[in-house]
Parts: sequence; C-alpha cells; structure tokens
Amino acid sequence: MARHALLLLLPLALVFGAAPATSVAAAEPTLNIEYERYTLDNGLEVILHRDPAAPLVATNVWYHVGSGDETPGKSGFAHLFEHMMFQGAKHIGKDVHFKILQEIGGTGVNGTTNSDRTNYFEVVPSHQIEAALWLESDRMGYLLDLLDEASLKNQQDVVRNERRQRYDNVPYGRERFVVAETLYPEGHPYRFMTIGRHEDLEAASVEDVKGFFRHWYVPSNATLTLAGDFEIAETKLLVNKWFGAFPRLAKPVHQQVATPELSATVRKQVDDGFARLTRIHYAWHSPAMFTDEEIELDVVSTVLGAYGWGRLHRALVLEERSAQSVNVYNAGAQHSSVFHVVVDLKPGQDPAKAEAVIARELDKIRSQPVTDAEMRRVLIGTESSFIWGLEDLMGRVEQLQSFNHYTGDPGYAQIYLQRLRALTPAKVQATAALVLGKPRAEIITKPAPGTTAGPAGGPAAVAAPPAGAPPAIAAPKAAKKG
Amino acid sequence: MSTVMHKSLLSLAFLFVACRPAPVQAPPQDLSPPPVVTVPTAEPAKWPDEPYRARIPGPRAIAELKLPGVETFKLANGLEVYLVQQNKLPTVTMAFDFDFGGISDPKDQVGLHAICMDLLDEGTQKYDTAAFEEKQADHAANVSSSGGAETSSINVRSLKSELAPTLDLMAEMLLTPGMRQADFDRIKERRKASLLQAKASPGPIAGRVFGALLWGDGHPYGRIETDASIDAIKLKDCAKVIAKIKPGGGRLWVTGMISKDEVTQAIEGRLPTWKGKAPARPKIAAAKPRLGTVFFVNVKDAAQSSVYVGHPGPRRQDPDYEATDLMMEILGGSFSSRINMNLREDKGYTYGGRAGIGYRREGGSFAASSSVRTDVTGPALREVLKEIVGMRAADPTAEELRRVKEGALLALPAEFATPSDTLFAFQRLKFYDLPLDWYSGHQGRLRAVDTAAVHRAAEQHLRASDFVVLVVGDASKVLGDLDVIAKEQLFGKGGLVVLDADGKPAQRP
Repeated sequence: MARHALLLLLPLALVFGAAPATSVAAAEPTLNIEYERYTLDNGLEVILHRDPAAPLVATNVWYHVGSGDETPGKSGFAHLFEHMMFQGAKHIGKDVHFKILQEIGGTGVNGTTNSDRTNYFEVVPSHQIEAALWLESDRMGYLLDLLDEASLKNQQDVVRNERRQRYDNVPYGRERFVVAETLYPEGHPYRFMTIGRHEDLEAASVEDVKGFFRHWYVPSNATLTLAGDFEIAETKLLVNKWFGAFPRLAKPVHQQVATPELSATVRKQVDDGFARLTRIHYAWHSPAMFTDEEIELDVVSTVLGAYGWGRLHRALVLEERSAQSVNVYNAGAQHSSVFHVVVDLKPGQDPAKAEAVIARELDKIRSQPVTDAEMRRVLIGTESSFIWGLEDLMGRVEQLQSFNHYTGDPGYAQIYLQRLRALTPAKVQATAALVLGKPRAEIITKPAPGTTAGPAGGPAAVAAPPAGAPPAIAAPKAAKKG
Repeated sequence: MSTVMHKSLLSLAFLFVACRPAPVQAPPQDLSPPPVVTVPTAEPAKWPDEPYRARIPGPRAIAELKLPGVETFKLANGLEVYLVQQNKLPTVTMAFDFDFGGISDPKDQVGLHAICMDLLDEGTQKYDTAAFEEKQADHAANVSSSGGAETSSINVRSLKSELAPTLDLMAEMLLTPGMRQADFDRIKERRKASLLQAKASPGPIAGRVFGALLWGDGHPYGRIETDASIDAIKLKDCAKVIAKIKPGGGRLWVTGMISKDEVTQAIEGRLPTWKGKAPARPKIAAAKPRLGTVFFVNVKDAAQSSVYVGHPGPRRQDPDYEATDLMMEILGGSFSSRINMNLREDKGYTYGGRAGIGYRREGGSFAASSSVRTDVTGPALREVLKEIVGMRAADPTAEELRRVKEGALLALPAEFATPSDTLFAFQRLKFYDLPLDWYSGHQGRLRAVDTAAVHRAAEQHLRASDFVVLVVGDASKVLGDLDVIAKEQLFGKGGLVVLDADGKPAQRP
C-alpha cells in the first residue's frame, strides 16, 4: 500500500482551463476546473469554462425543475415538456432544431430529465457559438409562440413509445415502478418515476405546457454553462446580447418533501413475462443528496457491490456462484434518496439461500467497521473517477452544473474528496446501521409462470406474497416507526 | 429516481462524472408539503424580441482544421505501437489489438474465443479472481481482456502514478494466467444465463437473429451462440486461444501522459519473453442471405414490435464511401433523417427509427430498424420500404445534401475532441486496413459529393426488391398484417417464415 499512500500525499494539481493555477493547495490532490460564475440582472446564472484545446464549444442549460416538482395526475410531465423544447420556437421554426444543429456541425445534441432538473445540451464548432446561444435563448424566451395541439399530440405518442421501449417491452421494467410505488406514498412526486403513467401522459394539455413553461422555465430558474474554445470577455457580451434583455421573473419555489418512512418492511412479488432470472431487489429510503450521510452510503455501496472485491459480489457471484450479477448503489436525489441492493440469480438457484447471504453481509456492515484497505480502495477509486471524468468537455460541464445545482458550488469536487478523506470506518458503520437498519421494500421478480419454456413473453403482474408466507428474512431489528 | 431520460437513441450519449455531489446544507425540515405549483404566473412577461433574433446569427471566422497525428513505432518483438501523447491528465490507457476472434470459432463451438478471452482476466496463477480485482482496486487500475468477432483485446487503464503496478498485473496476467476450471465453469454459466434472458424480449431476440438471416446460416459474421455450442467448449480449448496472443501482427494503442521511450521500456521490460506471431486472418466468404422473406418470432404480449429490413451492403473500403455515408445519413442516420422524421415525428409510431450500414472488416450490411407500437407494425414496415424506395428513386434535395455534407465536414473536429477520441479514430482506420492519412483525403472526397453521387450510391447499395425482413412481436396482433405483406410480396417472394428465438424454424403460433 506504500505506493498508494504516496499518491494521496503528493500534490496532484489538475487545473483544466486556460489560466495557470494560482492557488492550488499543495497538501492534497485538487481537481480544479477553472470557471467563472456570474448572474445576469434577470437571474439567469452563467458559468464559463475556457479550454481552447479543440475548436469546440459545449453549451448546456440546466432548468432547475424535474419530475420531483410534478403533482398527482401530472406524472411524466417534466419529461414530456422536455420533448416540447425541441419542437420549435418563434424564430427557430417548427421541428428544425436538430436540422439546424446538424448543418452547422453540432454533435451530442440531446436533453434529459430526472427527478431534480432538466438539461439541454449540444457541442458546436467554436465559430458557431452564437448559433447555439440563439437556439437556447429562443426556446427560453419564445417557445409558446409555435406551440400547438398537433405537436403536443405527436410528442405524447413519442414519449409513450419511449416508455414502451424502455419499460413496458423489456425485462424488469415493471419492477422499477413497483419499487417506487412501494417506497413512496400516494401523492409523493417520486411515486410514478420520471417517465410517468400512460394515462397521465395522455391527459396532458396545451394549457399544461403553457403553465409549466411560464412557471418553471424562467431565466431565474436556469443555469447556462458554456465551455471550450472562446474568450471570456467576448462571450460575456454574447450571453448578454441573447439573454440580457429577458425579463426578471419570480424564481419558482420547490415543494418541500420530507424523506418518507416505511413503518414496516414490505415484500411483493412481480411475475414478469420478459424476465428469465429471479431478481431480488431491496430498497431503503436514504437521506437527500445534500445531507451528511450520503457520502458514507457511497462507501457502503462500493464496499458491498464493487466488481470482484465488493463483499456481496464476491460472496454471491464468485464464491457461491449463485448470482448472475450484483448491483449496489445509492441513488441520490433532491427530496430524498434510495439505497438499492439488486441481485439477479442464475436459473435454478434458491432465492432463500441468496437472501440469507445478503442478510449476513448487511448484518456485518451494520455491526462492524469497514476495513482500512476497503476505505483506501474507495478513496483512490473515487479520485481516479474524478480524474478520468475530466477528459471530456461535456463531462466537465455536467460536473460544474451538477455540483452547482446540488451544492451551490460548481467546484465542489475538492470538498467532496476532502470529506471522503476525513471519513472514518466508524462513521461509515454508524450510517450503515442507521439507514440499512430501517424497514425496506423487498421486490422479488420471478419469470411469469409458463415462460421458461416455449415462446417468450407475457405481461408483468404484481402479487402480494402467497398468503401465510413470511418474508424470507424479518424486518431488520432497528426498525422504528417514523 | 435519478434515471435519465434520453430524448433520442440516435443522439450521442455522454457519461456523467462518476461521483455524485454531496451535501452542503441541512435536509429540508418542512414536513407538510404545501400544495403545488404548476400554475401559470399572473401576467405574461415582456420579452424583448430584438430584430436580430429573426435569423440564425452568422458564423464567426472558422478555425483551420488541424488533423491530429499519431506517433507510430515498432517494438523489437514485432508489436506495432500507436501513441497519442497528452500532458494534461495524469492518466494512461493501453489497448492491445490482436487479429483473431469469434469469426474463427468452430461451427459447433460458437462463443469459444469470447469465453476464453473472458477467462483470461479472471486472475493469475498467483491471484484468484477476487485477489486480482483487489490488487487492481488498490491502484484504481483496470486490467481486462475481451474477445470480439474479428479482434480480441487486452485493455489497461491507469493513473500515471499507478502505471508501474498496473502493468505488472497486466504482464502477470499475460504470462501466467490463472485459467482455473471453476472460473471457466462460472463464465459458461453466466453466458448461458445471459442467453436465456436474451431470448425473452423482442429487442435482444431481433439483434441476435437478424445477423444470421443477413449473412446466412453458418457464415462467420452470422453465427449464433447456443447452450449446445457453449457446452461443447472445454477448458483445454482455451489454452489454444490464449496461445494466439502474440506481439507479431498485433497493435498497441496508447494514449496519455506517456512518451515513446516510456512505452517501449514499460512493455519490453516486463515482457522480455513475449515473442512470436499471431495466426493469419481467416478468409471471409460472401454473404448468403435469405432474401425476399419476412421472418417472424413470437413474443407474447410484446408492447412493441422490433422490425428490421436489410440486405448485404457495401464495404467500408469502397471508393464511394463518402457518397454512401451521406446517403445513409439522409435516409436514417440522424434525428433529422427521413425514416426518423416520418416514423417518429410525423406518424408517432416509435421513439426512434434509423438506417445505416454495419461495416464488418470484410463486408457490410444495410439495415433499417425501429421498435414500433404493436398495432402499427404493418404500416411501419410499409413506411420504411417507402423511404428506401424513395431514396433510390430520385436525387436528394439540395437542402438535404447541404445539411448532411456541411454537417459531416464541420463535425470533424468533434471526432478529435480528446486524445482518446483521436486514438479511437485511428484505431478504426487500421481495423479496416485503411491508411493513417485517410482523413486528409476525406474532406476533399466529401466536398466532391453532389446530389447525383448520392443518388448513384442509393441505386448501387440499396436493393429495389428482395429484402430480409425480421419482425419480433406479438403474433396475435401482428401476424394478420404480416400475412398481407407477404402475400403482396412487398419485400419479395419468400413468404412468411416463423422462427423460434434461436432463429430455427418453428410452428406458426
């Protein structure tokens, strides 16, 4: 481990950007992405990161709204709205957004929605920076001018096709919804997943689109990040030209949603016509993304799930050879997060035996500190991930946006690493005991009866466990009613 | 809930940075959510609408395109090295390419090369799998091996500071691999379980079966791995596969904070006994497709049908590559292509439709494909055919050609955005036996393509009739449509043929 300790002590000054590093702490690795952040009078936040290595500019707008801001009956709307942002705006014209970008050499054009935010991005040759600003400003300012019933109807079809392709026509698609419906109570915005329910998507109206746009897509609720081959001063003038005269509108307020609690462990079985391997999926509520315990759960998930050396992976995949795969992760989100343990069994393996191994390893990580060697692996692995993440320009942009959104500090990577280095095995254990000691969702997906031989297929059905059948393991002892 | 919804499969995806952010403020304390909020604000706001917004702003001066180079040299053992050095990130990647793979699998042992290359990175004589993974994790290193169809590879990824121990692990794996029976059995079990799962839903079934229909039964590019072919592979067969990993004829692709001398020392110093030459590449016969037939695989209650329409196509090395590429871009290569705009944006049949040439080293195949709502399976097939026929029937519009041609020229810098991208571009050239200066002529050839050349490429490389069609969906909802299409001989005279999930003839459901 000597070599490894050395790395952690050496200065590792990685400064991405045109300007030389001026104030890099010598004691510990730093992962600076040089940037400048400022706010226009109308509240639009701007982050600029200069890197002239290639003649490209990455443009990326985060609107601080996601499916976590939806209300009951409107599930899937934030993402459906994202699709409408590509349908045209007053000066761009109708359904030509992708065409325009293709003709000027744009690449990596897309938008994505999650529970917390919606982003829109493209990379253009640097001489076309202004075209990207024109497109992004037009749909921020003038989207509704071209909005009509027909294009909404078309995108309702497209998004429902997206749901069919990614959830309804694939193995384990149904169980993702069941996990969410089990964890979140009626009315909670995470209950129906970002893609939403078919009936809600179907019911969306033009008035809904207008209302959502006027409320959430205001300059004061957006962050524009530009990165790449440009001069800072000139770019500020361009940003001002395209966004500066936009009005100052009220910054929308997000609903506050406390972390839900399960009063007891809930176990359900899903019969999935597309699945051929039994899946054991445990899920616990965990603290929101901007809370203290999340970093400990990152350690716990790696120590349990890392390929080869992670405890659960090693036990079930390598030693018992009963599992096809083991995935452990803490899915961080703004209102609250979820810690997942997902194990797919090989055909013919006994789920009860695998669940006993899972119970053993969960018990161990709740009751004993992780080893120093495990802590060191997580630390160097995390540092390494940050470093590898710096090569791609849009990757750097997403890091700036993400840290800015969740922590208010685009350069938060260094603080994250400082916190990780300061973590003790005792602290990790305490958090594991707290979070993984609570009641959980246990969703067991089985191949639908009659599907293992003969023609494939069948819909997914959800059933409570057979009457009288107790859960394979009892709810953990630390369970407390919230 | 942090699942990301990609708008279109056609667009490039990017990876999020591996680590998620962490907290700065206390969790929300409010426990009673106020009523929410999707209500319009009172007054429509005043937006400036300056006259200059009316048109796309003109471009600024375009930077001269500087095509990056690659440093090439040969080691004493015959290994060819290709190096793109960079001095910004303290990282190194090394990819060893060897010209053997699944196309050399014996017919009754399909999966041999893939399974044996999978086994190679399961540890060394000294370290079992878990210990080998621990050693890598101690250094944040990644040492792996894999077998593709035409090439097999060993991949190394390391921080510069950890390169020495990482390469020690790689050398140990190469010179004294573990090759344990238990690991071999585990890998075979895993592949059989994956296979079982892949035969259960439309997308994976179509992907698995279509290649065999396009290239013909038993063709090296069209073989299907089965339980029986996996069972027939024995551990001793893997010793022969691993013995093919020789430096002579192999290529090493390096990028990172590392010089030619460092690469030479790193490899020659650790592998002094690694010598010899890899076996010659096998000859690949012409495709024997089952043209003119509509094939069908039943998946009960499928929410969508996977539809494929294709036939053998041009080679990557053909002189009209640029015209073919632009033609395919117009037909189905991007969001704005005819097939996607028709099936998705006009009809609302799908989340995305596409078409393109899949280039193998010794040949190519054309395929148009989509995952469409079950109740429009027949209409979607008709629209795909209409677009193929339309592409052959006339010149593209000047607007279409300008968009894809300008787009291809102006997007070139993005192909070389990072040193890794640059290395990958050269790696692909060598894969197809193209010269390393291929890009310098590419721009001129692109500029020379006119609408007539695109039309010629369509006539030459798209068939007018007799296609291979595959539909995977719910028989009770789509067979009626397919019967009519087969009877009309829309795609040829081969009728409708029902297959099972392994591509073997099956009873009509």
